[in-house]
Amino acid sequence: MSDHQRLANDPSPPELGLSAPTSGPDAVCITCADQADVAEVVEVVDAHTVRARSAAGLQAVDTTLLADVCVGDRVLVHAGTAISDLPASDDPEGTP
Amino acid sequence: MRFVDEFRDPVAGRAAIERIGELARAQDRHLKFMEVCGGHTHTIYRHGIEQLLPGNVELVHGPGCPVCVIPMGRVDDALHLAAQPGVTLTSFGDMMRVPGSTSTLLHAKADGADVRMVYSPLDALAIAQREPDRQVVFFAVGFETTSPSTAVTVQRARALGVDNFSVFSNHVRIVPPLRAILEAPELDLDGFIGPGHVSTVIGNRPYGFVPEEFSIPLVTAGFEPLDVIQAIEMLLRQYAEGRCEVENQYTRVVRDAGNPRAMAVLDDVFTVRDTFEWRGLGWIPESGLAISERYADLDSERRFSLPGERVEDPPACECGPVLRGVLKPWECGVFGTACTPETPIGTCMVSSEGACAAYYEFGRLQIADEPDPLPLVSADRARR
Ligand code: SF4
Repeated sequence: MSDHQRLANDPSPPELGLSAPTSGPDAVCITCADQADVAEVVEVVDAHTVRARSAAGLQAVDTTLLADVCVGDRVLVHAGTAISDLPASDDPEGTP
Repeated sequence: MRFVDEFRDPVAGRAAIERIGELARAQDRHLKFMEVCGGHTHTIYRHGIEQLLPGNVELVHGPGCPVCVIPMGRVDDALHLAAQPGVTLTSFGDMMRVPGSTSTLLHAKADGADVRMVYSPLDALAIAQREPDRQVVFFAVGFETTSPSTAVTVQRARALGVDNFSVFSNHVRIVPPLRAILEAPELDLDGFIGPGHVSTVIGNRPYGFVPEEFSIPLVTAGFEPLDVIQAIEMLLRQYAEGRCEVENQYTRVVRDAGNPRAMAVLDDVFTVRDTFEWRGLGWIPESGLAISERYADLDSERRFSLPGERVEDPPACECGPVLRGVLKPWECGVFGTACTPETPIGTCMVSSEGACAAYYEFGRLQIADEPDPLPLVSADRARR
C-alpha cells in the first residue's frame, strides 16, 4: 500500500500530520491557497515517492516533477507533489 | 526555518519600508500595484503591509485566488456530480464551502452525498483504488501551482489502470486573466506583484508581454512579508531607474524557465479550452484547462452528463469588482454583515486567500488600532 493510499485511509494520521491548521490566523486550505511547504527529504520510498519533513510534519510527497531527488534535498511541496527543488540550506541564493 | 525566517525579519522589513518611502516620494504621483496571487493578499493583510506603505502607493487585489474565480455554474455541476448514485466527489477543503446557486458541497455532504475532502488529487486516486465500486471524481481547481499535481494523478491512474476515477477539471491559467485585466479600461495599474508558486512551474518568461505590450513592470514575489515588501521596492526602483521589465524577487524558488518537467506533464494531460468563465471576469479566451483527448476516459465531463448552466452571481455579490481590483472588500454592501467567512455569499469570503476573507480576518483589526510602526509586528497583534 502506498503512502498516499495510507493517507486516504486515514485523513489525518498523527504520524504524518498533513493537514494545515484549521482554525486561527494560520487556518488556510493550503491547496486552495496556492501555498507550498518547504520540506526536507528524509527517505526515498520509490521512484516517484519520498517521505519529507516540513513544518507541518512528515508527509509522503510525489516527486514525478523533479529529477534525481535524494535524502537531504529541500523541495517545495504543493498538494502532495514536489513542484520545485530549493537551493541547499548553505546556498546564499535567495537570501534577502 | 531557513528561507522563511530571513523573510520575516522586522529589521530588514523596516529598512525596506524606509527605502520604499524614499523611492515613492521621488515619484511624486499615485502608484497602483496589483498583487496577482491570493497568497500575497493574505500576507499583505495579515502583516499589515498596506498600512506601512507611503500614501501614494496603493495595493489592489487581483484574481489569483483559485477558489474565488470558480463560477457558480461549475459549483452546481460539482453538486450534480455529488448527487449521482455511486459517485464519491472529492475536492480540496475550501471548495466545500463555495456556494453554488442552491447549496454547497458541505451541505450536500450533510444531506447524505458522499463528498470527501482531500489534500492531494493522489489521495482521491487512492480512494478509487480502495473502493472500486465507487466512481471517484476529483473536483480539480487551481492555477499552474496545482494543475501539475492533477496531471501527475491522471497519468498515474492511467498507468495503474484505475478506471473508476475521473477528473472534473476547473484548472485555470494565470496569464490570460492578466491580459484581460490589462485590456480592461477601468483599472489604471502601474505594476504587478507576480505570482510566486505558479511561476515555479511556468517560469517568468510568460510575463514578458506585460512590460513589452503594456509598459508595466512585474516582479515575481514570494509569500513572506519581506518578499512582498521587497517586490514593492523593486517595482519602485524600476520607476526610479527608468526601467520596465520582469524581475524575480523569489529567486530561491522561481527560475526563468520554470519547471520544464511540470510543463511537459501539463501538456500531456491537459488541453487549453477555447474559453472559460471566471467569476467576476467573465469569459476569458484560452484561460481554462480541460482533460486532453489522450485521457478522455478519465474526464468527468465526458463520463457524466453535466447541466453546464451559467448562473448569475447573487445581486448583492460584488465579487466581480473585487476580483478585478476596482472595489475594496469593505465597499461591498454585504461585507461583514450578510457575508462573513461563516456564511459566505461570494467566493472571496470563502478562502482565506480571498480578499474579503483576508480583510475580514486581519484588515479590520488594523483599521481599528493605530497602524503599528513596526512591520511584521502588526501581524502578531492581529493574531491576538
Ligand atoms: S463581501 Fe461577500 S459578496 Fe461582497 S464581494 Fe466580498 S465575498 Fe463577494
